[in-house]
Amino acid sequence: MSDARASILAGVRAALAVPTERGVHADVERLPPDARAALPPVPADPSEWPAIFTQRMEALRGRCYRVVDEEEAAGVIARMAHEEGWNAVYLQDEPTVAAVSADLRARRVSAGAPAREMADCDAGITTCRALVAQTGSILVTAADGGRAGTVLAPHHVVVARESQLVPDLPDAWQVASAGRPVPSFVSLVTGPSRTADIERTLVLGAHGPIRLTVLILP
Amino acid sequence: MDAPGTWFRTDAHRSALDTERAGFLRDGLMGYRERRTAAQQAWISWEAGTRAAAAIKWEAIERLPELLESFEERLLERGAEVCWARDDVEARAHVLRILREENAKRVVKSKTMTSEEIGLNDALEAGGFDTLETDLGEYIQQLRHEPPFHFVMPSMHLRRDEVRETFERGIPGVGLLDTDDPAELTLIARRVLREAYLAADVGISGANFGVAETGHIAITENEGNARLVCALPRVHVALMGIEKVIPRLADLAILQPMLATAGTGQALTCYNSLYGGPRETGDPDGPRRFVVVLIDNGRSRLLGDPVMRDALRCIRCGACLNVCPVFQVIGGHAYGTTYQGPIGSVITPTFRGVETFAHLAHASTLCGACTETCPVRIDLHRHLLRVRALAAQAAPDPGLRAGFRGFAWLTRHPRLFRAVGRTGRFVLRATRFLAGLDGDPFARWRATRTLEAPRGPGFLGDSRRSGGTG
Repeated sequence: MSDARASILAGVRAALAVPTERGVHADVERLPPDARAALPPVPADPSEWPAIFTQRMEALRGRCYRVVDEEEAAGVIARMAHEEGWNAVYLQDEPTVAAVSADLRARRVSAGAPAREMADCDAGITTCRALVAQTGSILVTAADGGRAGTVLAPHHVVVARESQLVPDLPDAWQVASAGRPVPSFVSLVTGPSRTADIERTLVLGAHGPIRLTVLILP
Repeated sequence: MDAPGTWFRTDAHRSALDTERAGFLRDGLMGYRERRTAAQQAWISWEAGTRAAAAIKWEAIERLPELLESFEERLLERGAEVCWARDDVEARAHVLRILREENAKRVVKSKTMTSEEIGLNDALEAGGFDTLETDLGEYIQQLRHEPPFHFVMPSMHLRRDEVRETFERGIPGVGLLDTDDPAELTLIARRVLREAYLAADVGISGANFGVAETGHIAITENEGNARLVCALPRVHVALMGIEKVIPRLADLAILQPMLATAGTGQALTCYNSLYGGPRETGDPDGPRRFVVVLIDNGRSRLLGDPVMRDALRCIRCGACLNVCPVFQVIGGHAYGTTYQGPIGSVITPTFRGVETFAHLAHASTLCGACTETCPVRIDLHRHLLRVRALAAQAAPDPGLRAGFRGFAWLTRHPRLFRAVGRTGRFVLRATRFLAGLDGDPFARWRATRTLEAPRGPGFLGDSRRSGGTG
């Protein structure tokens, strides 16, 4: 086993000792790459980010609500629970999540429950680390309800703060790596789960959530 | 010609004549191009993006030993295991060993082309493991006992009624379906696979990138199946080619949107996830064991090529297939390789033997569409020529060589050259009436092409008249 390791590394080193032929990919510079000079533009003014985030996310068929306080958030959640007939809901163990779900009459499943119980939930409510205006993405880690909490239920509801909005992907990865060591699980979630594997027809809810809702608190 | 070359000829010919399928394929690829163009136009500078992405991947290749060591070190710190495999045999042995150690019975897999490359599914089946592919396209292909048609869109060649029939025949208890609506069919697969994730002992995934700085693998997907494969089973095994390692976490900010834009015409795919080790203290879920299998299987050989080594920059977006005129006509199965299309024709001969797979490099018009579309600026059509040259060196063709020598000699004798040209033109004109009849000397050529009889005095005559030196 360690034989393979030594032999692969030796093979790679020997291969690299062969100089690249002149003129081959001469157009690739060695400068530190500047992603921002290439990626889709985002205005510098932070007051524009919520609207851009909302627009991008809704273009991907997610829903986004800006609410004034936890009470209004709880109201939005209660309405969705009623409309969709939630019987069971997965709740991340976190104060804001607890506050916005206090009045829910559905059965509560909490972190650490058996996966099958989580899989039977109609919705899951979690926090996030950041919202990315550039792509309408939500950055979650293991701290936001675990690896499965943000993907297992058919409706994923995210409670976020306006201060969590970042303009672009470079900033999102900076947020992810802010707390060293970087968590064991990090995911950028961009819209509800989707597939186009059958005749390129878009179908939502391939394996993950069919619905994705973000509630932005001040 | 070796067996794969012969099969290629037969299959490519058959595919080329299936005009209905070719039309379906063309429509699909046309849709891709529209989406891709729109997504690309949203960038401030796609060109700058390709330069940045190529620079990152090139840096990774030049620092490969160091980055692999750092990647391994970080993973070990995170409580992960790292295995190294020189070839497919060693890679399969690692996976089977882990499954046996875990006393595993049921395995779920998310999309991994490296697994196709090492022939893992056959080994798992032979080992008695109950294995399910969970990516919808891969699942459909598994039910059909057919390899992926395209390494990004595995079942793009199938119509919805064919998917329905596949489900009716392949999924126990599904019976006869009264719909072939893609949403309904997807829901059926969702239900079956949900149970599979929950029951599985081990999840096997691939990796789009390996972050040396932090010890994470990065997986890009749309469906969420990889997330479930990596979250629910108690063991997670990730298969990763050694060239997938990148220096920094921040590099993902350009590589992931690039992969999405070039691969499927999206700004970003639905889930771009990082996994670094097993469940940590305080995590509510996640596997208890996390193993990364680092696989060489020909990659260091490709790295040793002073010209084609940049093919290791490939991020497997599949764009070169989507724009390739040859792929559009012959489809993915004719290639008989894990990686189809131009990139497959460049890397397969090095991975699996230039004598056996050089014919792929000849199945190209050298139009350069692949090079133009490549997000990491791989000089694909130049490399196709390189593969041809390497094949000619490895197995010289005396007849061809004599032919070209003769032609070179002929061009140095203008009188004779003109005489031969005149004769040739006369023969072509004189035999034109034979087209479609028995005894046509150009029958094989004319079977798929219109052979125009030459008109006018020819290049030499023209250039003389216009004052050229002939």
